[in-house]
Formats: sequence, structure tokens, C-alpha cells
Amino acid sequence: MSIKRILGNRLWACCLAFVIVAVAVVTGTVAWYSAAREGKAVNMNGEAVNLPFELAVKANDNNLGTKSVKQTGTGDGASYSTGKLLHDITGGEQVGDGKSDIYTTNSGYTGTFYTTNANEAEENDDFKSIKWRLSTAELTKGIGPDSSGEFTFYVVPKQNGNINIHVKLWLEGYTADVKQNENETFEVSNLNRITSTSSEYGANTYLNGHILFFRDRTGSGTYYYRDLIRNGEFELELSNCEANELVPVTVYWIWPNTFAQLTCIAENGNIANAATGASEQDVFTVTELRNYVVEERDKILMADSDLLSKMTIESGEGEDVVHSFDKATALDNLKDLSMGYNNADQEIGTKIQYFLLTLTAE
Amino acid sequence: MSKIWRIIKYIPRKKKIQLSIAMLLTICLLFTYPSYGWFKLQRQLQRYEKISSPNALYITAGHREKPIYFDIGGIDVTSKWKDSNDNETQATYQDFVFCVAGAYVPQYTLQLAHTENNPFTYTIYEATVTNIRPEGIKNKDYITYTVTKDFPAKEIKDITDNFAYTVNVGDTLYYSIKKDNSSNPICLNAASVSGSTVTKSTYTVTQNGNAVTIKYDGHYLNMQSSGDDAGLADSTYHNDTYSYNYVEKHSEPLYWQATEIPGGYAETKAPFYHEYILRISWDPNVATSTYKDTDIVYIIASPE
Repeated sequence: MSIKRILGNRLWACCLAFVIVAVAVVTGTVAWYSAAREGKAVNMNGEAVNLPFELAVKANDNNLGTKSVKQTGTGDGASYSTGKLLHDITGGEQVGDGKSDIYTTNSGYTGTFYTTNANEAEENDDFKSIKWRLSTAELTKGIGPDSSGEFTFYVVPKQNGNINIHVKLWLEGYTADVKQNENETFEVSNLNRITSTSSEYGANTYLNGHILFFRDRTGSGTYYYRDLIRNGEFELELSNCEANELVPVTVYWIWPNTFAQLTCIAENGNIANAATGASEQDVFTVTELRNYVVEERDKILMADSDLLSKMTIESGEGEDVVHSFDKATALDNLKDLSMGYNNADQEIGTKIQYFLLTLTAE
Repeated sequence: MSKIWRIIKYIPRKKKIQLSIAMLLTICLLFTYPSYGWFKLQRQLQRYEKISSPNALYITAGHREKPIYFDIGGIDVTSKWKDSNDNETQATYQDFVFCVAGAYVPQYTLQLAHTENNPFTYTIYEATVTNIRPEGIKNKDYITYTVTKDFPAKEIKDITDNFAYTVNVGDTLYYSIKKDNSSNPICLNAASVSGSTVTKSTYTVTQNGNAVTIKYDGHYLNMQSSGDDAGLADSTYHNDTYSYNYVEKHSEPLYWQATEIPGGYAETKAPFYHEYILRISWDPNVATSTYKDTDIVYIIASPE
């Protein structure tokens, strides 16, 4: 008894139509997703092909992240192990090096780079996520309030034209037992990732709230930062790319020392230029920072009560009330606001010993 | 509509099940394919960084207890030392015990900063402690400290006491200046300072059966050595201390520091505490009780 005969022609047509619609929706969904990334190649039957780019880092061993070093003996007779990356110790996240190859950058530099790799990514996780190598000097003692630096990576275009990449930066805190060696290196054991159920999770939120990423900075020695990357997410728009010609991308980061410097109301040391006559970009960054602190204050300040009224003035009425950052109000209440910020810093420093910085590009 | 229901009712059960499964799978495909597609299309870079820990070192009162018990509130320059025969002598100094305690650090710097309203001399010595009253005159040869067992942090409380006897709340501890193997008081001041050349003082002590050399380079960074204002601070650190120009000369703080002090035992890397005595001394002919004045004193320890 065939289905067609039982259902009757009309019902059979309905079922068939349903299946056709389902298939159309599926491919349409994929096609929509592909179209969301301009310049992406979509083949004839609307299947998504792989990413139009890979990520690359310069091949060097200057700075692969922090290491655990074991000291034997003391004083003049002390000797130190070569050090193991935290990726390679128990509790650490194993991450591959990537595929090594020679590339040329868009400024003419040719050298060896490690890249994430499309074909191997399907079978081997080692090439979907690779170690983020840097050419800058390794930080020895660790970072804390007032620390700053830059992270550089490269985009490998897989085709000519424009590429849009959605980038997200995220810090995951780890706890560990840490022993300081005599040469200021550290021995790490009991490395454990902080999860959302850990008691240290609050500190992890403050860590992500206090370390800020920017697209730009000016000055030398002491910097003014520009173009705040909110929530660590930004769109990277690369135009006129050539296939396999590397494009460098740098993000700047800073852990502001004080609340006043973060909100640019301090006498000196503000992280963005709030002086009269500063450029439009600087003014915009200052406003962005202040909005950020007001809107995400529970991720930045550690206090028993909401500090909103201590740094803002109200405007509007009823449901339209808007709280905007006010420099004079904040200066009046600087002691409470600073205490909130410093207590959060203290919480980060005592609860978190290491963090894993992850950059995700899609 | 009812016709369709009637037709469906008459589909054999087996075929009904097949049809339902086919439709269910199609719907699942709808949801999973885009999600899976998204997950495949991601690349990542990852690295580990260290967060430096705060408060590696604490300044505490005696017996590494909360700094609130470190009280140099009132110094009476007319006080007297009384010996066992009730003979009295004019006191020329007063001692106070404090500790540097915390996680093991290879080396740390100890700093002292104070104003000069009172005609006092400040000297820091290493301290030694016992639970039995030593010989000598109270406040001259030793000072007392009452134990409260009120510690500033858990990691400080957990440090094992350096001595073999048990200490209970309310017990009295006796602190005096530690002497080296040649009976020299171990003072944190350098042997001599000439311009920018600092000659360290050296002491030999016995630790764990071995003779060990200790060196200290403590000295004032901004004291005027000669002239009308000898003994007061010069203007080297004025801009770091004050944001305005004119300051009364006795309010310009003197900064003293001793560097490269070993912070605990390298073999065990266990948290530690070192006890010190701050001796505030005066010339009885100069310091009289006809006036009283206030000074601010800061003691700071920071890992190097």
C-alpha cells in the first residue's frame, strides 16, 4: 500500500511541500549565516565553505606565555629547570603550535609563521586553536593594577577582497599553588580553571571587568588609549586583502590603577585624554569609558551597595530617567568609588593566580 | 480539515510512525545544521599570563599580630628606668617591636619615613624574643608585649612560631635587641654612607649550626648632613611628597630604607616573619617636657 494512495493526492502534496520547505529553510539558514560574513565564498548549492581567513602568529620562542619553573638547591648552588608552559602542566589547557609555514606580510616582511589551518581543523583540534606567541618581552612577575601592554596577531586572507571578522577576547581565571623561586620565576602546581560554580567566580568577573582592551593608543612611555573594545568584542574590517598576504592586527590592553584614572577624572595618569582640546577620538573614548563604568559597575566595583548615585546625575522623569556619569559627583565620592575598585582589585589578586587569554575569530 | 484527520486515522500505524520520524528528523536537521556550521567556523589564539599577588608582606605588631597593637602613641621623655634596687635613671630611649610577615620573598626592602617635629632619632634593630624575663632593666634592656593571638590574615596566623615554647593569649613576651656572635647589636643601619656610596654593616650569626653573614645598608635618603638644618630633610623628595611649594621644614619627611633583606628561608619557601625593634631615642638635655608635638611615622615593607 503506497503512502501516496493512502494519503490521497492532496495530503501527499502537503507532506512533500513540507519537506521541500524544510530543506529550503535549512539551506536558507546556512545561506543567511554565510551572507552575514561579507566576501565569503558560497558555492552553488548554498553550502557554507570554510572561513575566508586563518589566524597566524610569528614563529619565535620569545614569549609563549608564562611558565612553571622548578628550582633545585639554593643560593649560589641553585639551578632552575627550563620551565614548562602552563598549557603543558596538569590542569592547563593543551593548545597546539599550529602549522608552520613561510608567509609575507602586507608590509613586505617575510618569515616563518604558525597558523590555524582549515583542512586540518576538521580532523585535528590542534589547528583550530593555537598558542598565541608574542614578540614582546615576557612579563616576569605577573600583571597587576597599572600593568599594560599589547598583543599582536596576523590574519591570513584565503581570498582577495574584503574580509569581516568578528573577534572576541576573553580571560578565564585559574587558581594554583605558587612558589616563588630565587630568580623571580615561579613553580606552579594544582592548576585549576575557575568555573561558574567556583567560589572564585566573582573574582573572574572583576578580572574581565578591569582588564580593558583598546584598538588604538597614542603617546610613548605613558599612553592615552582610544577605541575601547566593549565586552572584548569587536568587528575587524579588512579591505583589499590579497590571498595569503598577512595583515597584522594589534590590540592594546591596560589594567587601570585607580578608579579615577579609569574614569579619566584623575589629576594625572588618566587612561584616555580628558584634557580640554583633546581630539574627537579621545573625547569619544573618555565618554565610552565612563558609560562602561556606569553600565557595568557590578562587574567593576566591589561594594555592599549600588554605587550608581555616587558617580552619576539623573535626568528625565519616571521611566525615562537616565543616569549619566558626572565628574563632580564622582570626585565628591571618590573615596567610596575608589574603595569599590580597589577591593575588586584585591579580590582578583588574592583569588586568581593565572588566567588564560583566548581570542576567538569567526 | 476533518477529511485530513480521517485520512490520517486510516494510515497504518507502521507508516504513521515512519512519517512522524521523518518529519521529526527534518525539523532536527533544521536546528542542528546551522549550529554545527557555526561551531566549525571559529579560530582561536590562546596564552597564559600570571597575576601578581598583592600583600605579599604585612607590617604587624609583635608576634606578627594585627598592627593595631603596635602603639607608639605617647612617648614620655621624662620617664625613668628603674632597676631591681629601685634606683632610677633618666630614660634616653623607648623601644617598640614590630614584624615584617608574609609569603616567602627572596628579598625585601624595609622603609621608614617620619617627620621631625620632635627631636628624636629613629633606629631599627633586629629583635630577639623569649617568654622568660631576661636580665636587666625593663624598657631599657627589654620590652614586654602581651599576646592577643589576633592576627591580620589567615596566612599570617598559620606561620609556625620561631620558638619552641607554646604561646597563649595573655602571655607576656620579652623583646630585646638581637646581638651577633661578637655581641654587637644588629642594627639595620649601614656602616657608613659617603655621597652615593653606601658601605654595608656586617654581622655574623649562627643559624642552624652554621655561621651566616648578615649585611644591612639602611640609611637616610634625604637627610641634610651639615649646615643650619643638619638632621632635617632636604628637598630631594619634596615634589613626591607634597603638591605645594612651601612646607614647614620639620614637616618635610625623612626617608630611610634598607634594601636586599632576605625574606625567609630559601629551602622551604614557607611564609615567614622577622621581628624588629624601632628605637626612638633623644638627648634629655634637648628633649624636655615643656612642649609636646606630634610626628607621623610610616613603616613600609615591599618585596623586591
